[in-house]
Amino acid sequence: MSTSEHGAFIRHDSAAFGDGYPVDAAIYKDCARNNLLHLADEFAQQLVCAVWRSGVELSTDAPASTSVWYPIATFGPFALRTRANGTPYPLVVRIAGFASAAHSVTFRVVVSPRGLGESMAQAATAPANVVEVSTSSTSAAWLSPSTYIATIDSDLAAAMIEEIPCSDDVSYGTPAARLACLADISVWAKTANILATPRLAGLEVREYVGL
Amino acid sequence: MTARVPAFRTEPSASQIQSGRIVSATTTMEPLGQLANWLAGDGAQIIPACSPNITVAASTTRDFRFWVKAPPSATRLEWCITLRGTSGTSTLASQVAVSTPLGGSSTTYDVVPPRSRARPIRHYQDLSAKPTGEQEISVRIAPTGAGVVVESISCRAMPRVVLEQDTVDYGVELARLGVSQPIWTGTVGDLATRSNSLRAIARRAGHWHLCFPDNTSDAIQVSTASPSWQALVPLNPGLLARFLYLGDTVGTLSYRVLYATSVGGAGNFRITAASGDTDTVTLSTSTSFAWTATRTFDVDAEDLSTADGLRGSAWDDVTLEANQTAGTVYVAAVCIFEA
Repeated sequence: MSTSEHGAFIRHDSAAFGDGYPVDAAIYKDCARNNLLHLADEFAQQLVCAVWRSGVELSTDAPASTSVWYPIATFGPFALRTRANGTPYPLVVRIAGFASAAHSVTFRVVVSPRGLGESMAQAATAPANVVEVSTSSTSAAWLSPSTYIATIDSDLAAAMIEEIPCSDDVSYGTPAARLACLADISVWAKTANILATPRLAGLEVREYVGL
Repeated sequence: MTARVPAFRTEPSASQIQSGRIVSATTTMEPLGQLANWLAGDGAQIIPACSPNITVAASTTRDFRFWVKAPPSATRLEWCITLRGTSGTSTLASQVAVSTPLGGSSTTYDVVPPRSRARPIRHYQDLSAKPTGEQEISVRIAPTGAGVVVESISCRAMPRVVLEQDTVDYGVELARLGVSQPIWTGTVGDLATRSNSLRAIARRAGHWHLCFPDNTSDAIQVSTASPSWQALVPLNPGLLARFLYLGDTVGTLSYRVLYATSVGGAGNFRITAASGDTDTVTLSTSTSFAWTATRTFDVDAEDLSTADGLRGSAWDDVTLEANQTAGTVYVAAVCIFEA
């Protein structure tokens, strides 16, 4: 949810914080705390934004079973923005896809610790970090409903924490390491008939501080 | 004496900042300083994952070029590139040399064919100078042994651990905000006015990148004659700008187009947001791939009162079109970012 007092950036006169001006609690709360928190809320990132040209969509390999979630693609890993409690911002997901023949196909978008997408994709029921949507259309289109929210709880977030190699100077002058919440975003699909191959035509994933 | 960047953002409580209350170092001043450092130094996804999904043949090279505006404190970029071999089943089929920038030293990675084993390559690019504005960044893919499929490319500016306390990094000295430290213009003013500087730095850096190698075979060929328009992609991406000020309904994004023309060729590129704004740029004759100037257009600003941030429960889909006024136009990249 929005964490700032006003849910927006409040313009202020920098001179009010100069020598000779009293430190006013209300102004300080509006300008310092509110503005920094609002900027942090809107610091959310667009992680995936891809659409494919006709005929070159991503797809599973030809499915041999109707009970297996087949891989389509893995994106990332991404360093997720995290709230003060260590949980990442929720992710808004939008999927476009279709089937190569008129049978139902189902897509899953999995937000997981690195390398664990497959095990999470195979879950009997999609957990909160997995978005699932089906279609039997043979035409590429954004699927309905148009948005899905994937959330990551504190346990899963803890499994995503890794040290990443940074540098505090140019040309790798001051190597350092820092903690980050790293997640793969992978897409999987299952078909109701092996004659229908699932095809991914578009994917958007962006962070949103949420309600 | 450090301006350390926390791994997680802080959320200082409003209830602690009240008239008549003692100003608290541990619940107000230090968390605010840490939040400012997080905004300045947490890095940014400057290229959201895009998916060329093209095959690069063995012993050939393909260059992918992007136009970005990275955070000014950036010193290191991480490229995440998902590659898949085009032949074989489970054994190592090929290797690929990745170099950033183009012509720089390369690192060789193994590539395996099965889709289920495709793992993103994480390739680091150490910058020789901190970014001072918009710039081109690029990556060269050069497979050997067998061809590879370039499934996706993304790039982020890595976070910093400790910031400089200057007008590039905008680090806040946390020790000055600790218990028993005096409250004076330098500390109070720093934090309050810092939000003005961070407003431009803590941007939503990358929005959408359509990218193909910069050659006329891989780029999108535009042969539709003006005044008709040719859509570059069959589905339109939905974009949302940051919401900044009360009353805002739109935000401004920037874009550039990487294109080439046939000899004597020329054309136009048009971008149109469903919310109403549109911008057109002329693609002048250029037989080698070149960037247009940076242009701007408006899209919906995020609506923080809704469950998904959408304004009016609808995606602000953006249509990308081009046409030719002479010859043929080739579009290799469209890069949309917040400048």
